[in-house]
Amino acid sequence: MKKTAYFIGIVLMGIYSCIEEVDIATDLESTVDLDDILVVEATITDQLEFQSVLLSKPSPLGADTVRIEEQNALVLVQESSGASYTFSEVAPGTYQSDQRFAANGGNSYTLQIALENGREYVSTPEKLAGTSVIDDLYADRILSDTGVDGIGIFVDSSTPDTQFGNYKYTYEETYKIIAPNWTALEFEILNDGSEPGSVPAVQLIERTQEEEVCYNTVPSTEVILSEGTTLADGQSVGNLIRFAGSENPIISHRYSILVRQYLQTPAANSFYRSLRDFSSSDNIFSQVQPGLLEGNIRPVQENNSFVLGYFEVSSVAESRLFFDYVDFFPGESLPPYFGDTNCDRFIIPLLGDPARDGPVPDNVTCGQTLLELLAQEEVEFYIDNDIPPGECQGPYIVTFRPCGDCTVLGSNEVPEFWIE
Amino acid sequence: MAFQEISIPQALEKLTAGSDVRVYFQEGWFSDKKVSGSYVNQTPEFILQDLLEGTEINLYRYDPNTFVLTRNNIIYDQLPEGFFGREADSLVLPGPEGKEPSVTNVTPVFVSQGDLSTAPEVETVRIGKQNLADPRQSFLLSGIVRERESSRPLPDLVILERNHGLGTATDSSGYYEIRLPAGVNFLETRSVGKQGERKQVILYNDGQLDWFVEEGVEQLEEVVVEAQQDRNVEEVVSGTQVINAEESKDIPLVLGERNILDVAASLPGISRAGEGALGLNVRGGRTDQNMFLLNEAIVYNPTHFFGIFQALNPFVTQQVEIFKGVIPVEYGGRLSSVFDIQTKDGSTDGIAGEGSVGPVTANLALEIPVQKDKSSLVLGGRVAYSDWILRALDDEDLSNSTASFYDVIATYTDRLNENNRIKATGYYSKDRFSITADSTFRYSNRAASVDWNHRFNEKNNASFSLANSRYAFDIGYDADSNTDFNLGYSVEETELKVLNRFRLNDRHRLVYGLSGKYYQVRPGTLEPEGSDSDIAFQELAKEQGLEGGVFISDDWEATEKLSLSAGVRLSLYTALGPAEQTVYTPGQPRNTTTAIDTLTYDGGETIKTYGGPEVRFSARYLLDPTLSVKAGFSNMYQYIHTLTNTTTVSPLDTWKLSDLNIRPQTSQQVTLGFFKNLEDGLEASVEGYYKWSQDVLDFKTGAQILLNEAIETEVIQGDGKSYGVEFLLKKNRGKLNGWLGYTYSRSLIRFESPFPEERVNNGEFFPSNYDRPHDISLIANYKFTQRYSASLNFAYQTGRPVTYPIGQFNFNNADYVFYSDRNAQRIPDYIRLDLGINIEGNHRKNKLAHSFWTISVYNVLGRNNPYSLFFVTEDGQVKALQSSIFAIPIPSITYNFKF
Repeated sequence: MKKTAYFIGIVLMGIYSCIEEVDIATDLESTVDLDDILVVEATITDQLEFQSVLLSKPSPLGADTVRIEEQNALVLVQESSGASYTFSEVAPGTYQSDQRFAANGGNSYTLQIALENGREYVSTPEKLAGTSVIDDLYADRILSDTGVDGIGIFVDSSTPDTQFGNYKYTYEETYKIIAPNWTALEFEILNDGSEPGSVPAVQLIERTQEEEVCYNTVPSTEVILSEGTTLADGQSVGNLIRFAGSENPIISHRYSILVRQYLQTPAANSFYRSLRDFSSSDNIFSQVQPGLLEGNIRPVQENNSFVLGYFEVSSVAESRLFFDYVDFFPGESLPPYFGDTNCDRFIIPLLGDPARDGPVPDNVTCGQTLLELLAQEEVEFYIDNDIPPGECQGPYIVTFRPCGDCTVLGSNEVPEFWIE
Repeated sequence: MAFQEISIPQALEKLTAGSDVRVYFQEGWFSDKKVSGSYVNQTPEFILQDLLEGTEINLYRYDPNTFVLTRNNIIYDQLPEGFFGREADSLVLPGPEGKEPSVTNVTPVFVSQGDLSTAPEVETVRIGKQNLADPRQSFLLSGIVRERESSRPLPDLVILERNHGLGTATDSSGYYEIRLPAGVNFLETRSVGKQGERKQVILYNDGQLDWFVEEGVEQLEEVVVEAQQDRNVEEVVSGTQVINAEESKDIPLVLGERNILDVAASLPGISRAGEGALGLNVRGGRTDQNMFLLNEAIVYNPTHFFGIFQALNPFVTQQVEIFKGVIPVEYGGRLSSVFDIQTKDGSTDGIAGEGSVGPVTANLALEIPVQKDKSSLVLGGRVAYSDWILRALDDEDLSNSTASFYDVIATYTDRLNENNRIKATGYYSKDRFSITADSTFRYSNRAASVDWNHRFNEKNNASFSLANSRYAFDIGYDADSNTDFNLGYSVEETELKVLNRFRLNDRHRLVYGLSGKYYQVRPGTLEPEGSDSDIAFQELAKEQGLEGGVFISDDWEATEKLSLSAGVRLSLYTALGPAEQTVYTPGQPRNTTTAIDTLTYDGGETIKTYGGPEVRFSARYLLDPTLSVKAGFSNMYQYIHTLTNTTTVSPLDTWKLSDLNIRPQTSQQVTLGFFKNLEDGLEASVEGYYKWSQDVLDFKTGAQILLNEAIETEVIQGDGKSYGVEFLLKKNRGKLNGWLGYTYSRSLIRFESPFPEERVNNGEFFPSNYDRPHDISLIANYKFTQRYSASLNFAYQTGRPVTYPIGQFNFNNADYVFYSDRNAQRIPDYIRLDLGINIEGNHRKNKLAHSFWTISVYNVLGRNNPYSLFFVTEDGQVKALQSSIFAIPIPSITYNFKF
């Protein structure tokens, strides 16, 4: 007997997976006393400069203040040549070398720390891994890993000293902001109407400072490491440092990035890699096993204390790049303005002077007045309301403040390095 | 008178033609057997006797020229002595040797019409030729039971004789033997999924009766194999479970896909880290401690798509036998379990097929007879097109992903003759997924095996098998740039195994044999992709190893109540060159600074040899016929390990052979359990186990695994201990069937070292990633009528341990969390309920097709069961994120029809 069977499956809905943010549990018991932990940020470079070491303490999960500066410590860097460099606290938790010095290839360096509470720490001796060279820094219009159109900033790195270099990068990006609804005039309040019986009044005056074009500078916050795309000649090329999507307002006009490249030892690289992997998620199906982050600084006396951080001696190279939006997006519309601000929307608030305002119907609330909005620093003058004001309208058309005054978003001083 | 190649009736006709000899017979009694012969001056009686030699036909001489032929029985012309009330004893006494046979001490077989069943469907079979010389009162009936459709032998099928209360069961090759009283016997077969076959057997002598058993359509809902009903109590080795592919059919499905491995995970002692977690954890063991055998060949990763689908074609899978306690002596090399997956033997008398088309996969299986009743080919293919699901997802990371897979299988079975059977299998599965636009991940399993079963005689049954398997993955990066690369990994093994099953006598059954396995691992190759790529070629040195086993075991029925199974396997492993191995300073942590020497080995040179004897011991004592106590002890060695640095297993985990620096994992397990059969097919068991393991692998925090030339500096090896109690209540028959399991178990590991970098949690025992103390699963089917049934699947597990941060700190302008004790906290408990309704089409005979609907809802409660919890730093801020795989109810409908 022949039998044929057909089996048809109909599935009404597909896989639904989700990632959601949850509250951080703060009531967990732990055997670790946070006071036993010291956080050390210390990278001595091969540049002749005031070197710095930052000391802080961790905070409990969920606490508002994450960083607690560790003050009044003694910090010293010992060179294998016998020289030593003392550090002084120049700001809470920030210790700067008393003299400029540069790490050199022939010596090893040891960090020594003595805290106010008497605990002492010492690092393993560290040496430069070689000389750091930036071969190229460039921007390219790319599709990101997740398919977003935008600008990627890449570094080609190399070192003449080792076959496979490990690089860590930091950057500082600076972008030009142009307030789209800027005018040369701003309000001056003549009478704020707070006196009973007085009539609010404003007048327009010339702006007293630059508020149309500003600049904002932001340091990198993530751990950026070279991704091992190592070429036959030992170069590490195409390391993505920064990606800015085409909707990101920071690339709207002119953008600059200063990249610092640190050549790391494999152990230092591994420390940063763990730090990064523990705090990011590539794939919902597998998660890197987190654990104790082991650095190279240990307590001198045997006790429970523990150091989070790594003492690095690193060769640094720096490079700066500029580009304009039109270089990559010619003829395309600018990205939306910063934040949720809609600069195409204007409001015409009541001034509070019935002689200049439009009619206010009975039983209608007209919203905040111009003076209330000015007091909250929410609006800027745009143009006069030429036609007779309608219901609930005042004599001036105003724009949201960031659209008329860029100093909300950045500094109005042109940075020293800026080149147009 | 002479006959030349003519049939017996023709010969008889020739004999009687032209003479006054008369012979009375029925033509239908004779087969097509041809006879030849020439006779000179012989009596007709002599000629007839000669012609009938070797047939079941008896000759009765009525008078010198008149003969009556009878089938099987003899015509008695005198009543036996004692026929009228003499002592019955005299009938059973065998006659003294050499004595002329006489009727007095023969057991005559008289069959009255009333004895015979009048039921029309019961076939009457006559066995053997009655022999006046044979004084025996009972005879041995033997034969092979096969499924009618596929002609494949059926093991574990019960044959019962109702009137005398006798019974037996078929062995693994479908063979049975039963001693039955002479005369009328009513035999019937019983097995799950098979129609009970009944025969009335009139036994005249020893003989052979082969059975062909129909598939029983009305029994499809049965979840438990009935023939195992005594197995629960009587089997000596505990911790063994069989899942029939047919059984898993009614269990509610995810996306309409049957998954035997999911069914396995609902049995006590078997769990997984979560939905979407690859691999199973058996009795607190790591996922790399399970051996998945597909017709004798290892499949390294039997799952597709992050473990959500099984990589086995459900239509060609016959059953999975799981050993999680004392593992049979012929298997070795994995600490926790063996999953012996057997495919169907194809139909030998007609093409049969099964197929499915679903939104995720299309599936086809064909059974093609090659030579009728002897050989057949089974082909199976499956392909998935799940990309659209990923694209439909909300998650931005996944909506740009693609994932697809396929698997193909071919098995050829040839029953050369009664004593020889060959089964050859080829299997390939491939998965491809990409999470970003430029990079693609691919992994594949390949397995091939040839298994030759040879029966030397009734006592010796040997098997020779040769198997080859390969698992490989690669990561491709293709951005049309000069940095395109392909990173590849593979592990391959070839095993030759010879074993013989020797039935020494009724009390002893021996299994002995040997096996040898050759491993080859390519731990990593980085190749430039495309002619423009400037990537430097990089290849880690190949690894090679040889694993051997010599084994013997004896299943000994010591007394009626006590049975023992004792075995020993000598397990040996040698890591082979060519290789370079680094020697590290003893008493120092292993890292690049403590390396003191590099040893170079030539090709084939022994690097290091490990191994030792493995004991496999089980005992069963019957406290009463329905209650037994079983105990077991075993120890195991494992020489190949996965390297993983993630909390759950990923398809990109690599397998590493033991070498100079990485020791084999070892384990010892003791078990004690009670097994009880209750009424109505209800069986209950409780079993406890304690397992110690040594040199279990783990990694230093933040280890890099791919392309790491000094991987031993990242590996730490520690101890494990796991223990648990497993309760199982199974109902095999009736309207309601299924099982309820509860397991309390712990799985703890310890990494102790004088050096902080090689120590985890201060060197104290801590819960492993898959430590889930409470585990409840309920699988139930209820049959309302022949056509309507409902099924339910409930699972509860303690949430798995996670490493929760203990504080936050600010570093390089960003906030981070930091961790201390590993696995000190847990994610919320896992709770899931699935429901299904099965509707069968009506059973009208003339209907074109037999249809079968299953409507099921996975995760009816819509519970958002967390899969993992992790902490990320985004824009310098710490966020806690929780992921889950199937967070909403997933309904599915499947339609099945047969014609």
